[in-house]
Amino acid sequence: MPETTPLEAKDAFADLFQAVGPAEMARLTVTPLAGFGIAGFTVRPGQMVEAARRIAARYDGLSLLPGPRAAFAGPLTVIGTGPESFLALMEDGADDFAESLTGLLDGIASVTDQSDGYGVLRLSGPGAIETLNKGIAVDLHPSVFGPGAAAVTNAGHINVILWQVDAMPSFHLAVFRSMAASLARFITESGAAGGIATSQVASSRRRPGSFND
Amino acid sequence: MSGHRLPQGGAIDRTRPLGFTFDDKPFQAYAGDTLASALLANGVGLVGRSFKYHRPRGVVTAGSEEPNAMVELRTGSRREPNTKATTVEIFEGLKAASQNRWPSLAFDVGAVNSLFSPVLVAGFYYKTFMWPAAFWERVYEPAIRKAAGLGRGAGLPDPDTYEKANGFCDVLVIGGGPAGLAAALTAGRAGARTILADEDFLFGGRLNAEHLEIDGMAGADWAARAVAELAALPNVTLMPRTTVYGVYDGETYGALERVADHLAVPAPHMPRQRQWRIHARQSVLAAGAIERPLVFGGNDRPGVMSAAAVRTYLNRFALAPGRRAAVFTTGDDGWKTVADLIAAGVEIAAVIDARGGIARAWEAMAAAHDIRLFTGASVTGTRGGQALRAIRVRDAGGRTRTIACDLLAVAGGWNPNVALTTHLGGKPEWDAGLSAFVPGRGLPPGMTVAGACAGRLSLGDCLADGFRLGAEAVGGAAPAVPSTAPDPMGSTPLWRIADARGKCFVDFQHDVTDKDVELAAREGFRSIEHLKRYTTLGMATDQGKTANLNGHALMAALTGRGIAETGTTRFRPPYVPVAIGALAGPHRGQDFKPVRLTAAHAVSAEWGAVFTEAGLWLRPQYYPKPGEADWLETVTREVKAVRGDVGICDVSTLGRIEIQGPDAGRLLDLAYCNLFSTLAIGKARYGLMLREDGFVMDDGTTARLGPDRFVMSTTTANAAKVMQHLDFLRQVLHPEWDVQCASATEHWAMFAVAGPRACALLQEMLGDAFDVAALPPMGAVQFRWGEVAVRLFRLSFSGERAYEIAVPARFGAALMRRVHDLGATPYGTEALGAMRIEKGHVSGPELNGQTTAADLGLGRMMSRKKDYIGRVLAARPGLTDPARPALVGLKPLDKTRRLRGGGHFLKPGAAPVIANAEGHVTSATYSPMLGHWIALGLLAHGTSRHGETLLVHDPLRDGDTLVEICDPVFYDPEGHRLDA
Repeated sequence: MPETTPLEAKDAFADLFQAVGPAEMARLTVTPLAGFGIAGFTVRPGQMVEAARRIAARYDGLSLLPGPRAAFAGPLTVIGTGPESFLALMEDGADDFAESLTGLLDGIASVTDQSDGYGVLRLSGPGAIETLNKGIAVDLHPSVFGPGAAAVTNAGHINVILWQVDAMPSFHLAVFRSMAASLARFITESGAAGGIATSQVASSRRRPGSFND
Repeated sequence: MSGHRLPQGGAIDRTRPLGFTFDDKPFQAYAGDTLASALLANGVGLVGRSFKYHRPRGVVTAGSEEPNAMVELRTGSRREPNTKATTVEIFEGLKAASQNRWPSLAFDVGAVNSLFSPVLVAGFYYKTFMWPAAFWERVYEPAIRKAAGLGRGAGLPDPDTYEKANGFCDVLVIGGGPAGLAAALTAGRAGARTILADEDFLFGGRLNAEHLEIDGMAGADWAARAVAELAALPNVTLMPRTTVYGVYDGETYGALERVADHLAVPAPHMPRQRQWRIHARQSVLAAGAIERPLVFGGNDRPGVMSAAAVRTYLNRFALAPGRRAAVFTTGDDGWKTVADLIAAGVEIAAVIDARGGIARAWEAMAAAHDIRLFTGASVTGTRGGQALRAIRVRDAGGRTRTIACDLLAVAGGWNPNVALTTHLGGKPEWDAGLSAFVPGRGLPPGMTVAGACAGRLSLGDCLADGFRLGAEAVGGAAPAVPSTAPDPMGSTPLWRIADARGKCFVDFQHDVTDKDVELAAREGFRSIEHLKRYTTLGMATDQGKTANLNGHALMAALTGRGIAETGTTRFRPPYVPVAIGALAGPHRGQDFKPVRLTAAHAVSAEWGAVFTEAGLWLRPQYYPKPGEADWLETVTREVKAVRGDVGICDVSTLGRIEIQGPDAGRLLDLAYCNLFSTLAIGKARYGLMLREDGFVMDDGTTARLGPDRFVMSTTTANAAKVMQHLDFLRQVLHPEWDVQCASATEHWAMFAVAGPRACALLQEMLGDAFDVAALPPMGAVQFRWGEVAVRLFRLSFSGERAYEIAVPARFGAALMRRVHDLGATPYGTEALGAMRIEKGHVSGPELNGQTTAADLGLGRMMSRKKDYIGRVLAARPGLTDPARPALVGLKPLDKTRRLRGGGHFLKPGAAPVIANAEGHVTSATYSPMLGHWIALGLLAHGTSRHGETLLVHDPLRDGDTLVEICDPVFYDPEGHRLDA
């Protein structure tokens, strides 16, 4: 009899982080995120205005910002990663977001499903910046970076896409899935001195009132 | 304690005694001591032996410019050589040892070198070890290597960790003396992001070392108050124990923070050292000045010390470095040492001031304390074995006398510490008034220089500069400068001392004397750059901080030029030695570089796979089972399983590039030498890509999934290169094309499922989701299997009926497990390689950047209907020469013989010289299907030589093997098995 149970999914950062020291003392909190639908897209020549219009219309007025910026609208985040190129992340959208975006941007952008191409982490707490700056040569001081700022850079020789989500500060970090283990080692080594708390892998559940694709 | 410690004062904590050992002898120190101060407080004057002559040496300075007092610290795997005792912060249990001596510091056999000093001059090696030439390798070099160097490395893995960090600021203040504190206060108060770095563990510099007053407050107290204020400012970062060691492009500074050097063992997770890259919009260099030694006979004897260092030891460390002192000065600065010695109650045997006339105040001070004063005089020699016992003084009238003393404080004037100003090519300028080099034009961008470092030596000038430049850096107005007492700094340089007796050292660390400089001048090495290389002046680990100017001034005098004209050498980073471990940071061992793991890596690991590196990737190489004797047995089993049943191989590392847009087909036609725009939707085609120079770059299959949508696969090794190449083609050569590329390698986990049962297995697994048998050869399809998006390609690298199945990476591990559970044998890159060689498929060893399509038997793929990258240059005569080595197969005549890659083809009987080589073996494998070794090779005129017998010449391994040249396809040449 053929087995018909669905394949079990394994998250990029599953089992890769352990707490260091007592949680209440930790200067860094690491939260692996999972379930994002992630799509990379490059807008075709001359279609930026139309692409921005369609995205704003579908996703609660989200504005496509040129340059290294992250734009947020509810469960959707869109990050500028290069000229006319963006990475879009939809909470709980791994199965269908890329397809849906492909439909939305049909003829005006090339969309590639990257839902499993990246592992995504949230790093937060007073030690987040000092930990990140042990590998990232980008000034993350609130006067320079701040919520909504983004960078395509590298952390200890590992390519990452980094964006700040709030002033706590909290940062999100997307890394090629194959390098998740190496990035986890880098973060653990860099943050251990200040203590690390870990949150459970958070499935990015879609919130009530989110978009219907 | 031996009583050198003063009863009170100093920045030491007398409530915290600390025990340490030097050469296994126990001593006691206080928290706040350096190793140098602790040794001096215990009456230990002899600390090391010199590099060449093994002369006894003691502490000369109180800072990182120390040329003499180099020691080994710690033991076992933490042992570190050549650490300056003057910079080592003492801790409980510190074990220090002298170095470059045998059998002991007090009795060192190597000191016999001193007897040979007349021949151990500059250029000794060049002149001595010329003949017989054969002696160099076996006699001279080993002997020289044995004698060279000072301390010993640990020779064991370093148990500590090192870290890198990036810092960012508006203003970086380098040096925490009065000028640096003032600059940091101004910038910090203005709200600028400010970093204050000092290599010392205590901020304040001179303020801690001397009797100085600022606004009526003791200098050390003023410094402490400034530090407290800075520490309270949220925008200021204080970095003690941090040496800014280099200035780099883009307003970037290298700095080394000694995080745990002052601890016996770093705390858990604490790095030993942290290497900073500091990005600073502006910097204020307040690195101070370094006191010059004077070049007289026996000036290296333990007990001869910098006069400023004597003040530091008296005031900061509350110890008297001697019981009966003499002071030899060329300026007013030495008199501050006289005053401090008086205040500390140290007997003063004499003051020798080289100047003819001195201020009344100094004469009065000498008279009041009944001190013998010699003006217009000089010290010409010293006496004593391993400790100073007396000095020889030549007075203004030319008479000499001997004066007993155990400490000689030498004040030779000040050299601004300009090192960092020269790292980006700046050249110091001679300041005749100061008799020293000061920072010249061409400072590093964003840098200003404050205080003593800029040649403005007095305390008042240092504070004024600091406040002014700190304000300038933040665009503000300079605050009022606090009041200070007069701080006379005048001096008259004294470069040559007449009638010197004994060796006069210019460079203590490299044992370069005035005679070496004279020899260099005599032999024509008169440029300071030649002087440096010929005598090694300034080439020691201290880069000549105390030595250079004295050497250059001597050369100027010898050649009748001025010092400005003679010039000075530039300093290079690092300012002080930086351990390789700190530069490597965390990137060592398994973290040397990031590792890429496939989605199913853990599954293969669970099955006992042996992994091999492919770039950053780890790929399963083979899956040994218990009882298998070696890899060959394992690989043979895996191949037979694939050819007889079904196997699964993780091929997720292959590059996958999505190419989309109306011009996607045109891009592929340009990139590949064969045609792709005609490819039907739902089909894949094998493609060959050439470089612009006509040689093969990469191969792979590309499938068309829609009218404007292709997915290309590349080899693992070339994934990034091909992506870059495509971006170049579409962005630079054809920006007008509407085509977009994106790497999707990471999104998909992909597996080759190969063997006669592959179709049935996949059908069983996929059920109703897809009719596998209906997928034609070279078919490509995308469908949903429940929630899982699947891409299925019917492609074969093994020659069997085979599929490549791709699923989103989060399902990769589960998919591999599922296929395995259905009976597929996992196989690795070894079995993959064995099967492709059996089928004559080319891979990395053949796609080596030196082969053409025709060489590989793929010439017919080169389209004549279109243009493509590499077409024109592939037609060059050298690339179309029929004599070029072409792909052949080979079998050993003796079927028991093993073949290996790399052997050269020779006609049997031909001499084994490279001129007779006709090609080489590229890939070899044991063929489980044929039962003997087979190989692929590149052979001149290869295609027409099937059946010929040649010798594979392999002298480095198990010798030569006769082989028969054959078609490169060994197994199933008709390709029947593809449809099995």
